[in-house]
Amino acid sequence: MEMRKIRDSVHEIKKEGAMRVPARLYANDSVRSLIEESALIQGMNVATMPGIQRHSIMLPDTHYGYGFPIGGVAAFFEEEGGVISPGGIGYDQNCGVRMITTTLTADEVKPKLRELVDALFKNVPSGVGSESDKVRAKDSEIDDVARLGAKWAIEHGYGEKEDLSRTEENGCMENTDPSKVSDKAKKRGRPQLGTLGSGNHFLEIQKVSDIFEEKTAKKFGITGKDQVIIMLHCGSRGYGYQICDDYISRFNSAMPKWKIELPDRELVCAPLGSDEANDFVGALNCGINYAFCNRQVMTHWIRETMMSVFRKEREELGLDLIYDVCHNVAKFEEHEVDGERRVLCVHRKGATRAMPAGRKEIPKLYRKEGQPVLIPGDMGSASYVMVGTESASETFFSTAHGAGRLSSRTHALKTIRGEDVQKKLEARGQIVRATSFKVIAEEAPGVYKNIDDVIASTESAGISRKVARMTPMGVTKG
Amino acid sequence: MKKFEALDIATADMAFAAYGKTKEEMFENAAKALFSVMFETKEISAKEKRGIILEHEDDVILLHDFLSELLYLFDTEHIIFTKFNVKINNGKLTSEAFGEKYDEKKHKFIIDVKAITYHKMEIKKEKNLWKCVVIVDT
Repeated sequence: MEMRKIRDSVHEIKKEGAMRVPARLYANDSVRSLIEESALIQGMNVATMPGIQRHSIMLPDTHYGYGFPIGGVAAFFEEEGGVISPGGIGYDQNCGVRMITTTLTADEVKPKLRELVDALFKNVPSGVGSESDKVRAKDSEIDDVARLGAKWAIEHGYGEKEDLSRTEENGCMENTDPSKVSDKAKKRGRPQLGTLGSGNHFLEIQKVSDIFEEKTAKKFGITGKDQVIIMLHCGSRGYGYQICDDYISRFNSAMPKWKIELPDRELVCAPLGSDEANDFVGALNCGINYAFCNRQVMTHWIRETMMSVFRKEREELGLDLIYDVCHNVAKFEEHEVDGERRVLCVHRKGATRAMPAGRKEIPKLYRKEGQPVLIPGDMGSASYVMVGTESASETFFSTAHGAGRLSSRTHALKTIRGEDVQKKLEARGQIVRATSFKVIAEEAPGVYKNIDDVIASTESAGISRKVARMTPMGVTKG
Repeated sequence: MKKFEALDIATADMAFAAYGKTKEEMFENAAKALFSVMFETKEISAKEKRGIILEHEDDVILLHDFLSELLYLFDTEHIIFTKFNVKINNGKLTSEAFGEKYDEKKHKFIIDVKAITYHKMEIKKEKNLWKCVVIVDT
């Protein structure tokens, strides 16, 4: 492996062997030293795939995944034999983040923090059997959820139209085909609508610690330090996981006919335009929509909970959405490559779209500023709101999605006690409410990279700019 | 003989190895390992029974499909399985899985398993001991 620094925080691994393009790592020197060689090799493996454009990309939160590294981006062009790959998206299709602003300050929330965390833990179901009888989605309606995404939620009273314009893709991917989603996926998904799941999914109450770009922050709804903001992180539950699994199996069986050679079985893919690829796109868009709908339903319950705990009306509390971003997705987007505008299938697995001012994909409301980018850190540190930049064109307008894991869950369970983590955080005034101490251990601060370093890397590489920083006050985890 | 153990080979997910004196026993222990990732509880009764029939000439795919089916049954019916008997003949797997319905007062949940991945999945026989490696997405 030959890696050279191109400029501050950008490194390139030269083409070698079967690589069709180089691989690029976006990370400052401090973060770069933490990146596992195995993740870099995965980035190089992705670079061997047919039709890949420019370079295979690894962002500063990159870490070892299965097949594709997590924290990676790969764009493919159909006319050059480009492919689509379920593993390049992840099992949790449209795992993503949304943030809701409030008019409250940390001082106003502190006296009611425990009550709020307990109420959110109760009203937004998480953990196992994370099933909700609160959402009235009948068996027959799961296909409507798949076709309409967040629109379905709005139509059924969970939120308002304005929320859609503040969601990536307006909360609804077109080109859905529920007939390409298996019964198994539907059976898993229907009762789980409106639930958080577990692991690294969470609901967090945060306060603003820093504002870096005041005008942009204000436009996004961030008005000042100590303002309380709520962050939600979750995806498509069993519905999306099953779709991914189904198509990995289907593509596995179909692969021999295309004679595509891959260094890793989990890079299994189908040529864009093939029946298999088209069916997957139809199903994937259903998975993406399920997650949009899920986050919208939960947004409604968060609003209700806030109004009930603080005994104030919606108008007094604000509770507007800043934005909702996907970080496990594949989308058809127009990008410039070699002086030509091409429609590419951009895979983001643990990566966030970060479009600059002027792009039609971002809501009119934010078109002058650029797209809000929401990046959560681990439960002990900080989260960021950033904005997309012009110079991110080299990463197909993508940036990091989180801090990126450093150590495995197995290692975390051996070395960390969830009870100790919880006590330490509580000593700092942070409340953690989880369904098990083990999940706290697996998600403990030490197992992730330093989020401030990861964010600094994206800024020094020019792929996104800091707008505001938040620190956690309370979190609920499945 | 250890039935199964956690492996530290996957940063973002959970990995385990399962063992058996026969291939079938290895499959049974892999199933036990799967549920140990999700639950801490030792005493799970065998009140509920579900049958699984699968077919594939490739043992790795068969293992993936078997564990995936158990995961699907857990996700849809909330049964935590604890005991298994597996028979494999010419690529055809028949199994009975026994367990009980999830009860939050009794069963200590750890983490959701989203899917059984194929990553680094392998089955091999070394000196009369069958071993498989499985990485699950969490």
